[in-house]
Amino acid sequence: MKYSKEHEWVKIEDGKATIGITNFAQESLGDIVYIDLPDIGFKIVQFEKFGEVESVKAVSDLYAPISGTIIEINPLAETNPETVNSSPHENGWLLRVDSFNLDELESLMSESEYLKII
Amino acid sequence: MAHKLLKTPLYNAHIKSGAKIIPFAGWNMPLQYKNGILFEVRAVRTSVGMFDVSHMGRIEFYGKNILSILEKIMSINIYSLTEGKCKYNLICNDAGGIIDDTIISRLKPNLYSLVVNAVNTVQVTNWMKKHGGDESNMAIKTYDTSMIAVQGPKSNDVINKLSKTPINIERFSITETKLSGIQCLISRTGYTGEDGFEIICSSVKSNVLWQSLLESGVTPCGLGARDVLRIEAGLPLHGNDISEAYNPFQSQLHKFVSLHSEKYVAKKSLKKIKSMNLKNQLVGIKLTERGIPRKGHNIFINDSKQSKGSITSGTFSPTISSGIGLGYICSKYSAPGTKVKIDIRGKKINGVVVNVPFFKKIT
Repeated sequence: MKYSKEHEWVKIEDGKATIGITNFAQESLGDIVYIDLPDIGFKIVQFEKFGEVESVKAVSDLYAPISGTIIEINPLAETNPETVNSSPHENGWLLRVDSFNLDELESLMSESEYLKII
Repeated sequence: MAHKLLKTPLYNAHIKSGAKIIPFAGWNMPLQYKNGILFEVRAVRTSVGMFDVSHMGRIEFYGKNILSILEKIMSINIYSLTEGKCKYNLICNDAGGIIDDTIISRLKPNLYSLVVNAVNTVQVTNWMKKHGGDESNMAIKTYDTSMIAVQGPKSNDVINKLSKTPINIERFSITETKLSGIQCLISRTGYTGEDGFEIICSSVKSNVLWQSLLESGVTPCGLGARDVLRIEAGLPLHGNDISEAYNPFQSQLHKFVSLHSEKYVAKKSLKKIKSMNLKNQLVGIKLTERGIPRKGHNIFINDSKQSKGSITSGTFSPTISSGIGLGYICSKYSAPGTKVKIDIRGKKINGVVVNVPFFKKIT
């Protein structure tokens, strides 16, 4: 798992990259009530905004940790956004992309590097 | 001048309960506890929650001539406030702008207690001084006392459990009694739209009371839940929805303005405002699509190019599961049922003007 300074994580498995927000991000936001994500087929670009996550108190932009084409969206993220609070690194993932470039992972942080900045 | 943030006497208890602390009105206050804002809102709507509101300004007014001073600055008919009763009251400037909204209680014939918004304590006392008040007839009690709001349908049960003698006071009444053996001033008031009590006790004793409320199963709630609850109830917050820039008529608070006394400093202005058409009015807006209105978002009608108003407070309402807000809108669009569009970060989201409170109470 790799981390961005905007508090998103990305995990590569079976040729797909899964993206979500970190535990630190969900804790800072508090109770999440809406998540606005693009549709399947949308091309996200590394470090560019691709959606919004809104808690009772605040709204925060989502930034892509890696570029790619969306192939799957977690239905729970839209219908039960509290899943992102309870399980940000597992059941509360946001989307999966393919057609990514592994070189982009170089500009992300390892877990230990990420833990140092939060 | 930067001031060090103040801590209420209950600060350590909040930390122990896992509170997330934020600066608010010059104080370090709990935003939420470990179970989160939605949990806390639910506790107040279905059971009972409590808030440390010790940051709010508490001022006592007393003395033989006190009524003649209060008559000049209070929007209500102060002579109609009998001993043991409380009233919501506005303090307006000469032009009719709202300096603060307050709860005034009459404790004894010549003794009144006023609860004001934390940041407005100085403005209120200055206004009082301008109209004949001085050290001989007012005292700030904020730092010697604590204030705890116990709110929710089960608040009456909890309060009575902590009292040896039954407490049976009506809404907007106040009495002195002992809770958990501690001398308290307790009123049946609140800022949540639920039944509830606001308790003032000596600051050194407040931790004992907070602890016994915790042990009685009362959920500690922070400013986050307080804001959601008061918006759901359609209650304005001074500094957001009302201020010196607004008068009580456009803020839909005219029923708290009596214009009874010739001595009332805002009488002339408010009488004039009352006779005129209002340019804009404070309304409740419920979104009919996904989204949350926030302070500053513009309100549009159909495809109007120009905004017809703006949101002054907004949140997600867990009670009705939609985005809700309070805001000022041109009077001709203020009727309930009017369809509006809220510009949320560039997207126009559909909503409708509704009556407040936003939720229907099941009683």
